[in-house]
Amino acid sequence: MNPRFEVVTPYEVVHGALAQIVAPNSVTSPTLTTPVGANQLANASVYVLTYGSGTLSGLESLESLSNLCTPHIIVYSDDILDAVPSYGVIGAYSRRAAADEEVPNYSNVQYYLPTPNVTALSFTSPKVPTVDGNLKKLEALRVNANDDWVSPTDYAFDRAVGVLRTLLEYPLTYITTDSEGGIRMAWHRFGKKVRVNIGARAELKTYIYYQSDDMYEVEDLSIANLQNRLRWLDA
Amino acid sequence: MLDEAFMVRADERDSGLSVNYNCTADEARTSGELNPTYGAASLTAQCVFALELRVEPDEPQHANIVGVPYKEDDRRKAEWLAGKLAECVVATIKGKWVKPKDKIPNPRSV
Repeated sequence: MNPRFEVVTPYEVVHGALAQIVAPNSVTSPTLTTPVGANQLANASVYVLTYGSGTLSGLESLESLSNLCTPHIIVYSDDILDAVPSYGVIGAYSRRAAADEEVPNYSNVQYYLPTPNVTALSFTSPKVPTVDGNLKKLEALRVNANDDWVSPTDYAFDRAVGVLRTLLEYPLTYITTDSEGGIRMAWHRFGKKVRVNIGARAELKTYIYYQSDDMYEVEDLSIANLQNRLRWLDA
Repeated sequence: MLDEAFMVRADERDSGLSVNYNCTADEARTSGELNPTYGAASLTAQCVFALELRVEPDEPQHANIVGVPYKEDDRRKAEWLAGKLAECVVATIKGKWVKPKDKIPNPRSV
């Protein structure tokens, strides 16, 4: 797919490159015909957020994606994004901010007011598939382990690979190791949390923890259980 | 990621969560035993007490938050309390800091 917008004016910011997109004049009736899923967003060279009540959840999603590739962050209000089907990531939950509404000020994000020249977004060819992004984060735990953190054990690493390979469309919020080389993975969205603890050794506990408001529980780790919990994040 | 900072480590199982107190977050991150550090979080003792946890000082600027279980002992409560303690955080300092060779220990600050 050819990008509809050029990425111009990159800025160095805290969490990645910030860029402004400008629509070519030839775009007269931009529409998003391709559903925007987490996988595509992870592959995108341009991310678009809108402000309003959806911004926070959008940013949480973006933060969960930010380690998968170098995100270009655009915050822009446009009603067209309201119609974008999504797996619960950026855009789908946004709305236009009211005139008197206070727009959150995030240090790593630049906000743009609606203009006739910026009306839609598109995605360029994939750079890093989401599944690879998750696995890259996992691999980084091994590669970068030194004084900074404990390297995952082979046991935990292999189990984590098995888990992440089945979760194509769920970018991790973070992944880290515990003090014994077990692996901790988390997905946060809309105030809900799902965490996976993989014990460093077979005799240590491996489980899913999930929380929403004051409801919290643990359950055994299985692919089916985890997929259910990640779907629950979006519910 | 902040929740992870409040998961009891294996070596804290008997003593409790190691914290600094009576010092700023910046002082805590640069005087701790962790090296390098990637930030420090400040929380109030009142918030810790409200969770029915205790803060037991053992050195002039070091204490342990007692009552948070290790995940192998009570995983449900350990995970929940980690999240609750993260919610108590009132300020954070972010950024990697590498300890010069002549410095001493710690991670969190109360």
